[in-house]
Amino acid sequence: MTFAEEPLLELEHLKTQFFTEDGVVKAVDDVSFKLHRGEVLGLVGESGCGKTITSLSILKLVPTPPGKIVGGKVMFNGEDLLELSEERMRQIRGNEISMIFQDPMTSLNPVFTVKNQILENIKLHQDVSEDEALEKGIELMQMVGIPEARRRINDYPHLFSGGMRQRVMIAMALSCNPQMLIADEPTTALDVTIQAQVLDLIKDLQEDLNMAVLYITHNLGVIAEIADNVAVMYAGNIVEYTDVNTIYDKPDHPYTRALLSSIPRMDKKISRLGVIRGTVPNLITPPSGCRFHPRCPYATEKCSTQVPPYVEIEPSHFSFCHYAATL
Amino acid sequence: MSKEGKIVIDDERLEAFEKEKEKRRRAGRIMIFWRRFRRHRMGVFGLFIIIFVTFVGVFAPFLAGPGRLVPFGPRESNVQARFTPPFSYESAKDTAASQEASTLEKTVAAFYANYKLNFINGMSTTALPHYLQLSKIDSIVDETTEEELWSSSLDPADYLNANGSLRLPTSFNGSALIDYRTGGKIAFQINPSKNKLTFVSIFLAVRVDSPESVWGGKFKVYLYEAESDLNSANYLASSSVQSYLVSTGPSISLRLIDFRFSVAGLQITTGSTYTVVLDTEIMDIEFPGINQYVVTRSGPAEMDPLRTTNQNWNALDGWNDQDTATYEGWMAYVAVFYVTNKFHVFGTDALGRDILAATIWGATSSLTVAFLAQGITTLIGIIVGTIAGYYGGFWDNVLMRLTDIILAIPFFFLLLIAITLWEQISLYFMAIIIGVLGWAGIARVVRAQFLSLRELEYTEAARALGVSNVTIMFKHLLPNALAPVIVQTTLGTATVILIEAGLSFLGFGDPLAVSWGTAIQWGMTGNTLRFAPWVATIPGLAIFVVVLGFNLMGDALRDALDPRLKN
Ligand SMILES: Nc1ncnc2c1ncn2[C@@H]1O[C@H](COP(=O)(O)OP(=O)(O)OP(=O)(O)O)[C@@H](O)[C@H]1O
Ligand SMILES: [Mg+2]
Repeated sequence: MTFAEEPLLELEHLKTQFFTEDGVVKAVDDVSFKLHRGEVLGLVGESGCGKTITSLSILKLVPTPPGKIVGGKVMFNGEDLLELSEERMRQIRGNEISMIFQDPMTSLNPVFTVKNQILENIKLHQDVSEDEALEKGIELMQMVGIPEARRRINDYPHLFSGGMRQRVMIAMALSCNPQMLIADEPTTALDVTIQAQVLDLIKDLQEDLNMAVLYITHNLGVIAEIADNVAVMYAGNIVEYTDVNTIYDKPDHPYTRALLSSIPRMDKKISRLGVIRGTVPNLITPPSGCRFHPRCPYATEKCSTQVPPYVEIEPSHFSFCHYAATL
Repeated sequence: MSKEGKIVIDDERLEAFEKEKEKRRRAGRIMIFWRRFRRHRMGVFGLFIIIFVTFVGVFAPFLAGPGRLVPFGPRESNVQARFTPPFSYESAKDTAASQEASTLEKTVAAFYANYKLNFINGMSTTALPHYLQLSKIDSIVDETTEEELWSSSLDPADYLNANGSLRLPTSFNGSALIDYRTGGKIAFQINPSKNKLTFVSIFLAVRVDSPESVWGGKFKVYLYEAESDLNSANYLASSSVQSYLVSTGPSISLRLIDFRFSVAGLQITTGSTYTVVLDTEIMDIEFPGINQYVVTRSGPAEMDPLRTTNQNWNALDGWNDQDTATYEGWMAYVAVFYVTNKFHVFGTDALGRDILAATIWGATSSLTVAFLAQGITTLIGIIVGTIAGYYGGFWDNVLMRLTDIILAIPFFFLLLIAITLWEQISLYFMAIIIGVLGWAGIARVVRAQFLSLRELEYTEAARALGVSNVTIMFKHLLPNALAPVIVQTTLGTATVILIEAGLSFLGFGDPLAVSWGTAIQWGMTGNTLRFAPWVATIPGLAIFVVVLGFNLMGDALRDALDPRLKN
């Protein structure tokens, strides 16, 4: 898939840290990637590797204190979001960049009706009358596939199932036709059939609206379904970036490979699932050199002393490894 | 046919059932809450009490003191109305007619005996409250002679009945109710601390409440040696006054009659006991329900805490020409005491202030302070707790340390100090002070709520949608944090009522308002508690009931609002 040259979003050396009593947590360390209009970028990685913090940094929603974006740029439509005022950011949030979250059970406010919550966002960013907002709200609810939208819009969140709530969240996120959607593990809390439905919904809407989507997950299977490109994250770094086919066929970085071998696959027959040895490093004192080296089967002396370069093995296939393309 | 009919009914039922189900399903949180709340009988009872008392408080101007109150007028003008019985005299008249007189007589007799005893032992310390000071005393009755009093152009036979009571013109509505009652003697003892006894002074305060009344009385004071026969003529000194007064409408017409007699030249021995006998021959027009009995108080003038009051009285009555500082004397405040009867349902205190009226007005005062103070408390608590909990970090530290400081302040004593610093305390002032010092608990509760709420995904989601922090805090999250605040506020209101009553009881209340605490204080003065327990009991019960109401409701709210309980 090819995209227009000018990316919609471009992260350049983004660094986000948490200043805690135990030390500085380097949650996002020198992360760069591009996201084009109409592109779905999958961001994968183990729990705690900094996916959520990356996405929150884009929206400048990192809890401050203790968190702080200490460096880098977040270029969106040619503007550096990190330079913008809080007021301007509020106009961007929900309007140009929207976000949906992992747990639909708690992402709707239990004391207000769904109508209340959807309409609030519409009215926040658009100059519409109450009636127009309501019509728009119902339309959105229909768009995300909620039956009897006109009636159900008056319900409280507790009357919706998890999948329905996630649909409501998507409706809210899309209410202002954002150019970009950040979906932070939107299906993790749902059961499998519902997961597939929600995933299809996001995919369909993305295509219809030609949105850019940053899809965060630790499920590589989901990535295969939805993403155009994949960024694999490990301990605050992007370790591999490529398109979705390459990641499955020719993964380069040892971590990506390990990750892939740890999930069951239909197309390859393997007797045992792989296990990544060792544990996720602590981000206060991350391993020196390549952060993956303590767990890497190929690690050498060099890996523990020198930070690896970003190697472009093939066009648009980057690997963050000393031995890129050689292993 | 019947089978089909049945099916139809079942369908209808089913439909109704479905409708009901749908209604329940869609019921808002308030409905759900109400359904849960309703299950707590005691809570509903508490709510009922609160509504009732609030109603009484709000409509006090109409319930107490009919037609006498100026709801929005100067506060001072309401003072008298606040002590007037809530029933119109006209309505009490019918029932309180002659058949009641005999029972009344008996009660009064028993009462009187008790009274007398109390006078002899120790004396009542009834003091006129400062709001009944000089400005409320319309006039000091002249010392008129008997001749002057009764000499008019009319022949006495024209205005006196055969039994000596005053006959009113037939045009006067209440003439049928005129009832003569003789006065009586009251004796009390004094212990001169120095032998320079120069006078004995007695104040007689009489309450008259009748639609129209002319009241006259003859008062004599005798000073006896302790062992003397108090009926004999062997008194050391005596003095007498006749006076009359006119009052219109049911009101407290406090008339102070001052009479003193010189004991200069008498051999008064320090430390020995003398007896003062007050003989009342009330030549009055008596209305049913009015029973004059006498409370006295005595003590050396110099030591009297009411010195200022006395001096005021003195000033009016020509005491100015004497240097009071050099005098030593004994004073008796003579007041009217009412027993419970149809007119005064809950009786009166020593000064004839109607207890029912006081209880009704007490609801106004109590709830004004309680709601205002608790409102302030809740508002400050919510703002402080919200900011501390939502932002965390620096603000949390600053605000929570402030809260700790507030909690460490000895609240009640600071209140007393603050109130003492301001001379004229109003209910509002009291409420503001209580409110400003009381928010710490609520702030903590709200903060705790926000600490967990701010971590929830819908907070994050709202921020990701570009909602401002203030909107998130107060519009999105606050409703989620309100449940414990509502409970705390309800229980806190009960506490404020108790604080207000306590302050008023201690005399730190609004002097122009009647509070339950003040009314209890009336009932505690002197020997009142012993022979007129209702004076303190009735307002005490009111406090009990209201506080109970708030607590019951608070507990029920706690259950009904508990998110862990499902429908
Ligand atoms: N408020 C915070 N204070 C300190 N450290 C934090 C804070 N929030 C996140 N971190 C750290 O930042 C790192 C990245 O966290 P992040 O939430 O981005 O992980 P993630 O990749 O989204 O994981 P998951 O898949 O579990 O959602 C973690 O190691 C975490 O310990
Ligand atoms: Mg996450």
